[in-house]
Parts: sequence; C-alpha cells; structure tokens
Amino acid sequence: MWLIRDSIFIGLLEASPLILAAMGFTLIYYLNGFINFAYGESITFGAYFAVLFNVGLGFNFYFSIIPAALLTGGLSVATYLFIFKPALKRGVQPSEMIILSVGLSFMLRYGLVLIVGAENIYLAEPPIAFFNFAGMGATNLQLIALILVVLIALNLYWLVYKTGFGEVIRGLANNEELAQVSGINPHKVSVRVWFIAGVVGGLSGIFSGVFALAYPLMGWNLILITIMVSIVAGVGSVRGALIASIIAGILTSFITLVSKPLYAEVVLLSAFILILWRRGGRLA
Amino acid sequence: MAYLIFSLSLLLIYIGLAQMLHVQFGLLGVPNFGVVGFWGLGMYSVGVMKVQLDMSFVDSMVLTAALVAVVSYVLGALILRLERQAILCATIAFSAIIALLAVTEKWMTMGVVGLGTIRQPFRIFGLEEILFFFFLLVLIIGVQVYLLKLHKSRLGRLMVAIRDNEELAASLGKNTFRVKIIAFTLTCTIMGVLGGLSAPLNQFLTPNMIVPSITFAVWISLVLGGKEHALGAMLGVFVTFGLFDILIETYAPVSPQFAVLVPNIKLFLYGALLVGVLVYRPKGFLGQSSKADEVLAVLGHGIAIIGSELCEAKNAISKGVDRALNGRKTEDDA
Repeated sequence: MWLIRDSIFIGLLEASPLILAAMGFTLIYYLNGFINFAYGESITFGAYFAVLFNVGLGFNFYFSIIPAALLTGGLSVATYLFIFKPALKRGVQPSEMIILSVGLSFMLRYGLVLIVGAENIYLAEPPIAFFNFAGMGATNLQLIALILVVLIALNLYWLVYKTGFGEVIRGLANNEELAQVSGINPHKVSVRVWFIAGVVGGLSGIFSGVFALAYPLMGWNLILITIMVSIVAGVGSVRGALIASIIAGILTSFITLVSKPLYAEVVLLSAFILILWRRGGRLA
Repeated sequence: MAYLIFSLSLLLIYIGLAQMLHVQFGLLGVPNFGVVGFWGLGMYSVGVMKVQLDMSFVDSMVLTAALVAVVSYVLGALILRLERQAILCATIAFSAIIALLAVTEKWMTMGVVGLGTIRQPFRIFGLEEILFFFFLLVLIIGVQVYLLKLHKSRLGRLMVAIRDNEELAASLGKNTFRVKIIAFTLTCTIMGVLGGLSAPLNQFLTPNMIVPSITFAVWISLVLGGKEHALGAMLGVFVTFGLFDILIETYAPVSPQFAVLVPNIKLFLYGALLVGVLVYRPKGFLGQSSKADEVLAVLGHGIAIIGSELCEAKNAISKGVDRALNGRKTEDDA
C-alpha cells in the first residue's frame, strides 16, 4: 500500500516537466502534423534563459521565470518562421520534417554549447524548506512547481477546449482550407500556437529537476518520453497528453521504487513500441 | 600512421552504415532512426562474447549476426506495417533501449566501467590494423558494387515502387510486406555485423559510444550525399566524417584550447547543413540516379497513373458495395 501511495506522490512531483512538455508538444503536433524534435531545445533554452536572468543578471529567482519563458516562446516562433514554415511550404514530407527538426535540434544545442559550455549550470535557489505530511516529504520548491504546473495545465486546457481561439486551432488542424474560407488567418494562429508551445516548453525546462540546474542534453533526454506520451495519448488531444504524462510519471516512480530508474525508461520505451504495433499504423 | 589507419577503418564502417541506410530509407522508404541501436547491439554482442565468454572472433561474429537478425526481424514484424512517422519513433525508441541496457546490465557489459580489451582478429605482429583495414575495404567495395547492381535490378525497382506508393505496388500483386521485412532484417543485420567489426577496432567499449549522435552522423551523411543515389552514402561520409573527423581533427593545426570546441562545432555544422540541405536541396548533392533511370521513372509514372485509375475505380466500386450493404450509415459518415 505504501508503495502505491509513494509512487503516486513522487510521480506527481516528478512528472511536472513532462506534463508541460507533452501538452506544448501536442499543440504543435496537432496544428502542423509533424513530430518536432527541436521542441526539446525549447525545454533546454527555457532553463538556460532562467539561468541568464537569475544568475547572469541577478533577478529574483521567481521573477526570472517570466522573461525566460517569454524568450523561449520567441525562440520557438523564430524556428517556425525561419525553418519550419518555409519547409512546409516547399512540401517536405512529414518523415523528412522530423529529420529536419532533429537537424535543427542539434544546431541549436551545440550552438548553445559553443556559447556557454557543456558543464552543468546551477540556479541561485531560494532557501529550501522541507515539509512532511503523513510520512511523505517534499521541499517547498517541489510543491511550488507542482502548484504552478497545475495552474498552467488548467490554463492550457481552458484555452484549447473552452475558448474561441481553441476552436480556431482545432478548425485549422482538421481542415485548413475550410478554416481559411471562414476567415481564419493560418499564419497568425500558427505563430500564436508556436509561441504558447514555446512558453510552455520553456517552463517545463525551468521546472525540470525542480529548479535546480541546466545542462545541454536536458531537452533531448526529455523529448523522447514527451513524444512517446503525446503519441500514446492521441494526436491533438491536450487532455490525453495531460492524463498520459501523469500515468507515465507515476509508472516511472513505481518502477524506480521497485528496481532501478533506468529500467523504468526501458519499460516505457518497450511499451511504446508495443502500443504502436497494437494500434496498427495509425498514430492517433 | 596507426591513428590514420584507425580513422580510415572507422570511415569505412560509417560508409557501410550509410549504405545500409540508403537501402532502407533511400530505396525502401523505411526511416530507420535507430541505426546506432543495431550497430551498438552488434558491437556489444561481439565484445561480450569475446571478453566474457572467450569465444573466437569468427564464432562471435556468426552468433552476433544471428542475434541481430532475430532482433531486427522481430522489431520489423512489429513496426514495418506502421506509417513512417511511427516507424521513425519506434526505431529511435529501440536504440534508446539498447543504450540503456548497455548501462544497466553490468554483469554482461560492465556498465559505464567499460568492456575490454577486444583484440584484432588477424594475429600477425605489426600488420594487424592494416590487414583489418583492407578486409573492411574489400567488404565495403563489395557492398558498393552490389548496390550499383541493385539499382538496375528488378528488386531495386520494386523497392522504389514500394517507397513511392506501397498500395499501388501491392495492387500489382507484389508482396510488399515480405520485401520490406526481408530487406529490413538483412540491412539491419549488416549494420550489426559492422558494429561487431567495430568492436576490435575500438578495443574498449563504453555506453557513451552508442549515443544518438552516431545515428545522426549517418543520416546527415546520407541526406547530404543524396539519399536516392547509389553513391550518395559514400560521398556523404567523405564530406562529413572524412572532412571533419579525419582532416580537421587530426591534421588541422588547431591550438589545444580551441581543439576542445571542434566536436561541438562539428555537430553544430552538421545540424545547420542538414537543415539547409532539406530545405533547399532535398535530394542531396548527387540528386537522383542517371538519365536512364529518369526515362524509366517517366515510364513508371505513366504506369502508375493507369494503376491509380484502376485503384480508384476499385475503391469506388467497393464504396458503392459498402453503401448498398450498410445503407444509411455510410451516408451519414460521409
């Protein structure tokens, strides 16, 4: 019993970056229909921008989150405008769009390494307090991250399912021509979606390892699981991405508790291949 | 000199991997993004058999080939019916699994400590490396000659037909899945064998050798050289690995504090090159194969149009039959 309780608790605490990344990734995947590996770099750059404002410019820890997330959104829009949009216009196939996104991902990552170096960089954290309820412990930072993630996730959910803009996104994703005929400007919508996804990815990076450190491979390490979770959840289902990432987080912490953390990844990746096979070819 | 031979041998291994990927992606349209998984499986398999079980090189190579064949057949049977994006994700997941297992299964692979030493198979004092290099050279040239022939053969044309329109090829009575799985298993096995041959080359194996950058380097070579051209793989590897890893890293006069940056600059440029090529020259440096192939392609296109008309007619008929059978239901769906 304690095992189940602990794995749910730890899973929820640890899954926060995954939840955000999966929701943001799903938005782009839904709208443009290709798997964007470069989204992993939104995660990495989010963390590095936070370091820039927090350590480099000496901002207050919590205040540095906001400009960092906005900058990441800008970066995401830039990748769309300068790389992905021209490629989509030229009719590059979805499977080659993925390769293109991997290329862009390497370019951004090693560009970053050339500028700041490959070492881990630590954020200047506020003092850590430790809370204890019913035998389960968590730090103040972990709890704040969890609350922020819940708020952001609810916001995104509301945006996609309850607002006019969400309806526009869904219309554009399902039938672009029809949406254009009814007066929707696909360019504007895409820019906004890439911006939102970038902001969410940046936040995910800031929350990874709960506010602790930034390293160049953090986005790449998270993106595979993110893509997996989003595909299993179903293309375009932000709701599904939310649920699937929570399940993946809990499952990871459960396997970590009973064996080794690396086995959790092996199990998730194998399950992913089997799920794809069971679906029989459709990603959605 | 010894280092040059090592680099050139590694260059040949990369050419072999890119050639196999050319068959998989360029001809057959199977985007295998788990190249390093098959290569790493072969390399670790030979390493474990030689070091832990003390087997001879030939025995370990044969067993490794069998192992990789079984693994790639099972994986192929699971994923080759899926759409391309799904195949890409599944293969990358496979390579991640192999990399993780190399770390976790310490009793077999020694984990991050590393596995070694794997000795050269040719035991002639002083000539081991050179002999091994020529062995690889003969192998790669053999594969290249076969690839040039494959492009002109019926099998090659069937593969291209499957890549361009699998349903059409199937409608002409070809068992496309069988072609795909046999070709996939065979090419992945050769990737594994190339991995096995890299084991005595590297001598000491650690899990950080089987990182996604290897897959990426092979892909960039192929896409740069021209994924549909028989010589594209070779040209691409000369341009990427030959230029950066051999010429610049070994012979360019770089100062020590700058030399640390070279691998990062290399990966940055690989990424930039890949983006540029895919956006501005999607067919790569060499583009498609020769004029004769273009004529064939035009002819094939004509046949394809006729075929697709037939397909559409068949679909329309079956739709009509469905509608008649299911009545209102299909009309509502439409």
